[in-house]
Amino acid sequence: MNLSLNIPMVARSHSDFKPTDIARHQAAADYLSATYGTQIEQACRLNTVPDYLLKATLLTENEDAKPDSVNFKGAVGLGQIKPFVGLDMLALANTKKLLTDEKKAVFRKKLGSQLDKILKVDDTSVFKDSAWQAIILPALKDPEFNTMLAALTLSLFIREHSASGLLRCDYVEARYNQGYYLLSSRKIAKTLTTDELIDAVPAEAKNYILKVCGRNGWLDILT
Amino acid sequence: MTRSAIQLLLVLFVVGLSAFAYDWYYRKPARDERNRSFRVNKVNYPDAPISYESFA
Repeated sequence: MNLSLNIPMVARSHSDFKPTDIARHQAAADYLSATYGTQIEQACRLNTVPDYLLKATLLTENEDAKPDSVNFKGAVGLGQIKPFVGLDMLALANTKKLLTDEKKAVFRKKLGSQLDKILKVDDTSVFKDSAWQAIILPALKDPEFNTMLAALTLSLFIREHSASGLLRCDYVEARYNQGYYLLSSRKIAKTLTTDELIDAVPAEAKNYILKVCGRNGWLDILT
Repeated sequence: MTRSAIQLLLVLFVVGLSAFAYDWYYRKPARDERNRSFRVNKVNYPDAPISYESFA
């Protein structure tokens, strides 16, 4: 299926993305590509995610591209993935038959046989337990593991927001920021315009959508 | 057609149906993922003045 992306998606722009900021952002994007280009290429190839979408997400999450950074909410690495979310996404991708052997091989490099233990879990609420999170925490600081998991998460969202042949990056990014269950927890329809979606999501996600999908935003810079 | 030939056709039909169901359930999601491609449409907003926003 050939998916179209409209970039930018809105006429609005985030206040950190003025024309005078473009050179700084371009330098950050160049650093990310030069330092982690191999890992990003692999993650995009195995998950069939466009590299500009993965890079835009990583740059929004972690503009300095520091793989061992942990934010105040406990989100880790290049893609700023919380341990609970990482475990949940692995289990969800497995349930949806998207965890191919090639992807598993990448995750197994860091998790070993613990990957099979994670994939056998029926009730994913157990992932809230710190003992489970300790399994994945060190792996999230590895650029190859983290970019693969970020691309896997984007792939899950792309699948859910491209039904009409138009890829809705705004929904993809809002859910990457707020979590897989954003739409169900806030009763948000999948058919809103970008401006309506911005109105419907929390402030953090409003900023996120504008940074990625707005004028002079990451996608505008990277494409 | 003999009874054994009908039984053979029935078995082949069930085997074929099972193979199709297996492929559809287990392999189609990854195949669909592999087969997608992306095309960027750069959009201009000539009539919309740019507004800079941030939310707290």
